[in-house]
Amino acid sequence: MSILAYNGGAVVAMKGKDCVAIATDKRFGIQAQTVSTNFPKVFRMGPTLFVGLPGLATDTQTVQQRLKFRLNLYELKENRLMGPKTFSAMLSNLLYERRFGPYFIEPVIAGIDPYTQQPYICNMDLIGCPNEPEDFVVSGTCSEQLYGMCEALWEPDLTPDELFETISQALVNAADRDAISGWGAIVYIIEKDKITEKHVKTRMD
Amino acid sequence: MRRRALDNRFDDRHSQMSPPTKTTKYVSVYQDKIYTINDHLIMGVIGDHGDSVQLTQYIIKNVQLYRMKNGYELNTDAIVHFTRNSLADTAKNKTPYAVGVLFGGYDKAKGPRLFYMDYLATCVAVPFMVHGIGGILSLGVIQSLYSPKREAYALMMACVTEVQARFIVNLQKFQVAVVDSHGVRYLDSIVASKLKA
Repeated sequence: MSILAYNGGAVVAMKGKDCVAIATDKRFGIQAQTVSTNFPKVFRMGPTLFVGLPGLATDTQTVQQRLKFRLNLYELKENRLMGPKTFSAMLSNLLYERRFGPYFIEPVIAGIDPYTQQPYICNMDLIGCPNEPEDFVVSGTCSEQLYGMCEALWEPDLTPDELFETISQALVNAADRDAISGWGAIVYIIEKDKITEKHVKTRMD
Repeated sequence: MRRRALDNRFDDRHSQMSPPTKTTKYVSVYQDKIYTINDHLIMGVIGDHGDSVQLTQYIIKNVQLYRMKNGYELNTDAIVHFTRNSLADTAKNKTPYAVGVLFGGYDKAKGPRLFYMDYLATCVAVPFMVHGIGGILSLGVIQSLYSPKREAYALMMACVTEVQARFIVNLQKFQVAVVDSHGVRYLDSIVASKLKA
């Protein structure tokens, strides 16, 4: 089995009207053995900037720490916030530095640009090749199920409340069809002046 | 008082010895697997014994060096973070430390802390956890009986009973250590043959 599926996990992000949402499951396991049900793979990196790092859990932690380090240095040097596009470029660079011995994570970035207020989503492969679509991005061990759910549920110009319902249904129903994802979920709704964090209950088996 | 103790085996590891006769015997030895880092942190380590000793000594010496340099001690979370960093650096080498670690610490500000870490340097804070094959059997027992207020020692005895009943290797003796606000101390080892079935 792929090392990317050693610990399990899923992350999804969606665009709405003047808002974006990102959601993660909470499981951490060693193959089929569940070790923890409180291991979110999404991290807040700025006032309206989030990153999800599903994949090998040790690399989730290492990359999160190294990203935070680089982000802090940027903000100290520049004395301004980092936009989501810049953040994507920085992460892409960090991953490609390890081109021939990669971090085994497939990141998802979601945020609102603090200067233009534009919603932004992006995902990457494990060596930092970015993809910036207009609708949604998925990642993790149940990415195929997530694609199916998102393709069926997503539509343009969703309000924050509609976006929450859409992304939650997509994640919950996709993770229920994957043995190594799920065990609870967290959904973040990002608007330009408000972040809403919601904990979603899912099947626990 | 809330107690967190480590469920770490103090079992008979079979090590091969070659006496100066023609026959080769297997001699069982008892091996200490709980290492005291400082007066508020213990580490239960399983895996290759050389790696266990090398890693724990590296941690202990660096924690001592930090105290001498700075005049104050690293707290539990900081030591665990330092260990994770050290382990993560070597995990992708050709020769990683093949170890499974449980950290039990008591922090004045944060109270009791328990961390799980594997050889890949994945680190998670957990209410209870196990390492090793016998541990997998114990996990279900702990999960069904655990509550934060329950006496941990009795729970561990239940685990030993289960391991005795279901595990093919006869693990006889289990060392138990506790960390709380008073520091580190050892409780009586749980000896399988002395338990009531």
